[in-house]
Amino acid sequence: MSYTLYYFNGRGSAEAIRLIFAYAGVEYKDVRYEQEEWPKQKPKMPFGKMPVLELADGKMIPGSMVIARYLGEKYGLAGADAVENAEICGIVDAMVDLAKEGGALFFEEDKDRKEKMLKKYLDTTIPSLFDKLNQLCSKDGYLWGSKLTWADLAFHRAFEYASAHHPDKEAILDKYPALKTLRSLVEQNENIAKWIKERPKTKF
Amino acid sequence: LAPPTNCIIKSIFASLFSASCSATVLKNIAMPSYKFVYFNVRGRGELTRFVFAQAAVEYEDYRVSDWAAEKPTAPFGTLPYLEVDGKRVSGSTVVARLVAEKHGLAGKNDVENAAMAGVMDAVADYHTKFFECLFEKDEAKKAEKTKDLNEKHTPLILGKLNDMVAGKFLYGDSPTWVDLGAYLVFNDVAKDDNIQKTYGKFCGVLKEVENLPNIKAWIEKRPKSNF
Repeated sequence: MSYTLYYFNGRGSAEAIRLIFAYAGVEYKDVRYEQEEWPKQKPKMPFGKMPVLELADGKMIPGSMVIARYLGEKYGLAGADAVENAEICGIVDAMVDLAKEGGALFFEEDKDRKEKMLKKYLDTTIPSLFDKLNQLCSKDGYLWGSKLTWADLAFHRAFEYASAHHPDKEAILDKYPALKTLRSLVEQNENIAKWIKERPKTKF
Repeated sequence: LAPPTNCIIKSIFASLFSASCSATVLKNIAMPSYKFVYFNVRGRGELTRFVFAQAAVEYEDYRVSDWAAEKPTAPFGTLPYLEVDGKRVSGSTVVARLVAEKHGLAGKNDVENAAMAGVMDAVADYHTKFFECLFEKDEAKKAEKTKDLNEKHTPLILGKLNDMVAGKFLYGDSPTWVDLGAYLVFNDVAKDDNIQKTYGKFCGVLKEVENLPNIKAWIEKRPKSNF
């Protein structure tokens, strides 16, 4: 197999990558380390973090968005030139804060801090991002151009981050009809549907 | 001069003249028009400005003064973004990477470019941790974060970067955007005597970046700001 993906046993910041692999129908070794194994594996990673993508020649690429972009561009889920690819990456870059805050919320143990974080997440972070994304999507149904790109798959992951902490998962996108349609479109893709059904069920 | 030689000389000059005209026209067609939009600070914008400077590429260095007025027109309500030939690209690292890859400050192919971007991703992660520590208000948490930074994160990344050095710069004897990014993040940290001793090769790279003529010139002429 050409590719090995290293991450924890969860969706987290690796899941957008797995969605891209699934959509493109590209095989890869889906290595998942439990927390207890991680200290032993950490020195093997380029900068002591995961996810990392190992290529056929052993080269290791770190950075979840870097990996997703590399695969998206390699498997036809991007633009026609450097500027278009950067536009697409810029859209995904805008989703990073939501993902980071979602992750921080998941791990926050202090009740007061968590409550404040959740309020900001629900009242500000999610709406301001989804508002902009909905505008982009309203033209042709996709976040960029008139075809599916890796940004649309990254959006599905962002939606999952948002819905993990939202009191009413199915209602989040009611205010963003174009995004609601995009979410369905992604989930109805045969490869994505199969992956979502079969992927390991994990806490994060 | 005898007519045949005269003709030859004339035609050589003619073809040289038109070749240079074509080259200029092609250059003007080929060179995109860039407008880089950020605040009047170094912050997240300086890496892209460094890339433009080192690559000697012209661009409009637009600094926002009335953010409230401009925010609604920014692609995601954030800065920086780059306007290039009517398109708009958001995100400090995305923009720096685009300019670097288009103007000879990156790798030779998509794998090399991804590997470089991966290193920059780790550098940016470290930078975030550094600022989280700096701005932490809770005393106990701050002490914990400072300890983690000094004992784990700083040695880990400096060790990796030091091991990577492959010449005057990280990837050989020519600079890339990763060297410029590393300089902006680590230049102050690297002034420490212990760091100089332990990560000598990497500190050498930072000195080389500082001595690049285009970078020197930019640092001298750039607008002054507190951060």
